[in-house]
Amino acid sequence: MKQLILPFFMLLSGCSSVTIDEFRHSSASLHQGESIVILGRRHANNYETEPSLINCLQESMTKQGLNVIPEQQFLDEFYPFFEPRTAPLNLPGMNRLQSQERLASRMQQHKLRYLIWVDGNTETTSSVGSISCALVPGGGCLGFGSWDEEAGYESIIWDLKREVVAGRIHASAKGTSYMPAVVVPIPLLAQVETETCRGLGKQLTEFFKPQGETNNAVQN
Amino acid sequence: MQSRLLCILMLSLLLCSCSGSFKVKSQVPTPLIQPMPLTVGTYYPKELRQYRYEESNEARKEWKIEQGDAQMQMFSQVLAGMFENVVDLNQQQGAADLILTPRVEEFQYTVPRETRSNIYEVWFKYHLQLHEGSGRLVADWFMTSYGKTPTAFATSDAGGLDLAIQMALRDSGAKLLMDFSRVPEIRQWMEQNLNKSTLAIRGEQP
Repeated sequence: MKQLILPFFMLLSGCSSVTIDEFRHSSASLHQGESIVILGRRHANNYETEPSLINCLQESMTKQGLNVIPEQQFLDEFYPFFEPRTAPLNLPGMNRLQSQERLASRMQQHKLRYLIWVDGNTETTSSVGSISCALVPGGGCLGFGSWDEEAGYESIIWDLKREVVAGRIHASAKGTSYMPAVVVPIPLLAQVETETCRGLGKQLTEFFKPQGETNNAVQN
Repeated sequence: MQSRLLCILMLSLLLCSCSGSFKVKSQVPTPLIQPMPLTVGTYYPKELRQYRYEESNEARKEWKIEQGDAQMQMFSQVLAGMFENVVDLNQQQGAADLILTPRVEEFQYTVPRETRSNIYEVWFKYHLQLHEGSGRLVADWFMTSYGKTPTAFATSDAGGLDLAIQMALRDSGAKLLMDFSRVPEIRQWMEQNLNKSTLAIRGEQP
């Protein structure tokens, strides 16, 4: 009986789907000791890329053997250059920043080769149903609710050594969560952010596997 | 007996939700910039040292937010990275090339139920004054900063506001570091008092 409990709860989740599009401008591969950093864009007022997604991507790529600097560590070590209102918005801005002696030396220290910007968020787009609960002894909840979540993330990969955009990866995901309540509400959550992290993390890891050289690098 | 206890519990919960107080801690990191070869004095007036926000709007929660220590820590940390020598002074003149006097002019915040968004937001407006050691005023300007939380999910109002204030303090430090020498009066003073190579090392075009 106990063996059935875990798979049962694992099945209790909403449904979600992820779509990944990759656009590779130039080859990308890491040499021995070189590192990557993944940063979330946070300059918009109405949303910000979730630190939890960035941490998840960093952990996912690290598990695959890539040397990825944790976001918060990078932001603290390179303060104040990558804060929401000071971070470079394009590659020429980043190249100008590298003229700062101390910043360039710290980058060298980390052998930082690629900077990946992830811009987007996960949001609830619609919700239906209602649940009412009675806060009295012997009371409980009754009702049904469901909501849709949509995620859209654009990743842009800067090759800091060659000073070019190495590629872009777009990830979009959708999912519906349900919450039936008969005495106790049972959330069946669609793991939209987790699924996006899984898909995007896998694609980013693939991106750094050695491939044939191409010469169509662009600078934005 | 059981229902009386429940009533007391609910009443205490209601009372707790109408007021809140906490003390902010600054977590601004050490800046990664080339310090200017100057001795800068810091004069923290009483209104900054003891800065405490008390909510006066009856429609809002009665917040009491202690921020004086956090504000001083942020300025001290940032200035220690910006200049080769930093000294604390108790007036706007003394043995220093320049003396900075910061004051919090305004503090504003919003919580998710007011904006129907999923974030806590905080704004600071600072009034900054820069004097020479002799007491002559070099620059007098305002600086704004902004901080927000990534999400309001699973966060109490106090936790959300604390985090948003810390983000705003980080933004204040970044703003001061990046924009200090762009203030026209300060730029002019630097051009007159610092040599070209010093400006070039800092990435400033004289």
